[in-house]
Amino acid sequence: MQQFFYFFIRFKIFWVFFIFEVISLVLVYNNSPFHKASFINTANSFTGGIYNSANKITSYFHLRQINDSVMAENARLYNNLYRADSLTHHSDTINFKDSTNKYIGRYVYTAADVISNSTSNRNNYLMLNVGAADGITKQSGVVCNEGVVGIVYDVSEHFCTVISLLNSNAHISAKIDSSNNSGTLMWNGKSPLLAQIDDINKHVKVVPGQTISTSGLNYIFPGNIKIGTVLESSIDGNTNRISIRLSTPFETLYKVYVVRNLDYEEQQNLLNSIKQ
Amino acid sequence: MYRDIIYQALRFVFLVILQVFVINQMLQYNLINPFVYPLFILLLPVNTSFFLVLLLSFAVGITVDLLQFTSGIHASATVFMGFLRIYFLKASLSKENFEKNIKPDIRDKGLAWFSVYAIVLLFAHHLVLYFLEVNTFREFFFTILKTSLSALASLLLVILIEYLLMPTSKKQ
Repeated sequence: MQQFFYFFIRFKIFWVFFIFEVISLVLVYNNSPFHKASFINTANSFTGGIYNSANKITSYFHLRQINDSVMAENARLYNNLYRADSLTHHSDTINFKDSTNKYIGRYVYTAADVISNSTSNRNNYLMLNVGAADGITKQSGVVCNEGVVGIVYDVSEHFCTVISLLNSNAHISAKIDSSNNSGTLMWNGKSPLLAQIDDINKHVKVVPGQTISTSGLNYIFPGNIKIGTVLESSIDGNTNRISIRLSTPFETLYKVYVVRNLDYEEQQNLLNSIKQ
Repeated sequence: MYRDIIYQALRFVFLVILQVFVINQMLQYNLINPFVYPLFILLLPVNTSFFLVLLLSFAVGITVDLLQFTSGIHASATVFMGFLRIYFLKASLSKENFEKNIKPDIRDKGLAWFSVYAIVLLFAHHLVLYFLEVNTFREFFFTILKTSLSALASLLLVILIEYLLMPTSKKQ
């Protein structure tokens, strides 16, 4: 027994180190959704207030940029309004493709401020200043004027955390605009300006400059929201590696919209019943 | 005694704020991604007990984890660094140094010694951090490159911060 204690005391530095290291590694590798969520939730309540007050100060510095982007968005919406107006008057002469009828779903937009953001980690998260009190639910999409941002991961009363598109856990269904071939968008961690699609059939012709947008197939995002443009594609064995220049400026992201699909649960329940 | 504790606490808060709200906001590159908060552990007096060093390592790591939503990787890396620090100091300092309870900084030990001390520990910290973050050995060489470049950038920043914060009256 004495020997046993002697053994512990002799390597006491190592044992203390070992205990702390095990606690940290349990936090890292605990993949059960409950534990992950509870860590993020603690982080949510701990840091939400801090980031919010920091944001109150720094947001003044970006007002000009935000104004410009809101004006641009307004102009785009006015243009759409005008086009919709003229279509109702001359509908017999103009042939148009209605994107809203293609995927039946009701989407609600909520404006939000980005209060924390990162692009340099392998797995990046954002925090927004809207939460359950504003009707935000998990698995809502997040978009900005320029393109897709990410998916809501966890919601607390007044804040929510978002898995950025720049995260190895983000899988967003994307399609090539001109041919409607869809694939899964992934990020390899090298640059916040580029993302990749690997699972589009190699026989599909992909040309640099083609637009990539959301497919609307996973019920999180409405269809036809811009993601980016094809930078280059190369065929490597049986996979078609497509590199995409993202249109969202992740490094300067201040105002975003949370898109909530009101039919999400119903659609998921139907899908689950197929799987069973 | 109490002055020292308050001084260390202020340094803790200052370095975490500097890391999360200044450096993470300004120096965002995927290849070079410096971390300066380990300076808090580097600069603890040499006679700090091993338990306190490891406890503070865990505390500063988990604080940064909570602020960056990275579950546990900063805590793991900093605890590992704190562990190495104990042995590095035992091996590289004389008995006299421990008796006088010097601080392992540029003023007491000189720039050359501090640079070696800082780069070894920062490299170890970044290595654990980036491998836990990537969580695979598939991107091995990219991760090693990222670790080396980031550790060098961290070293430059750490030396810069030390010169800026050194009390002017005692600089000679």
